[in-house]
Amino acid sequence: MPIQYEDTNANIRLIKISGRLDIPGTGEIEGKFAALAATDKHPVVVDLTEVSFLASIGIRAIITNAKAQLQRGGKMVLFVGDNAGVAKTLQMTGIDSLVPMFGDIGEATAAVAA
Amino acid sequence: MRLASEWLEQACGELDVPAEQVLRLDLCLNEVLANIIAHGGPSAREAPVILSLDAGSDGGDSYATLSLADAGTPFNPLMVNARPQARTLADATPGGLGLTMIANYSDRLGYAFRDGRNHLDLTVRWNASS
Repeated sequence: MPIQYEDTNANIRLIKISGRLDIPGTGEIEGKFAALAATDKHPVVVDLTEVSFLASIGIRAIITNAKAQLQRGGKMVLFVGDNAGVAKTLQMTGIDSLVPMFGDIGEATAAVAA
Repeated sequence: MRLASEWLEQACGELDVPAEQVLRLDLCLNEVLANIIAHGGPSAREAPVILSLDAGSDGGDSYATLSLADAGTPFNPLMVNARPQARTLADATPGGLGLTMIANYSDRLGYAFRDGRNHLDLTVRWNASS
């Protein structure tokens, strides 16, 4: 499955996405991504460490769901690990200044739980 | 879309284009095709998009140029100003990042409209010794 999730003991929803987030890849996961990110019980960490390709359509899905969380009074952050390609795309487009991005999962979970 | 990416990967492999540069071209290719599909109009969908790839070296650098020709509405991406970046998530509007990505992932863009087609050349450059 290109999208999986886990609700951690720390009450955080960790959504892990993998593969290509181009038009077909985003189309494959966007419904489940929206449903998982729509939780009002957990802050959300989106794990992009296994995303091999991030096109603007994938960024659109991230922004849409992060905004939806914000409007519910929730919080979403991104975890990229050492995925330099995805980190570069998020920085280049300025998305990292809108949705916080972390290379360390501990920092990501601490930030979203704060 | 995936067929185009698969063709690009194969063509780049035949011309020894490094993987990092293939990814840059692939991101540009996806954004351009997405724009053609979304904004090119009926004429863009009635005729195939023609892709070609050239690679070589000049001045000590290597380059690869991906060329696209589509029959859609005339559109010169070089004449479009990037949308101002939102300062907060609340102000952000999803979308509109494709041209930003094309401009940032390519080293040179060339555009012409001739014979009823948009012709876009996307070039990436790299130092072959690095």
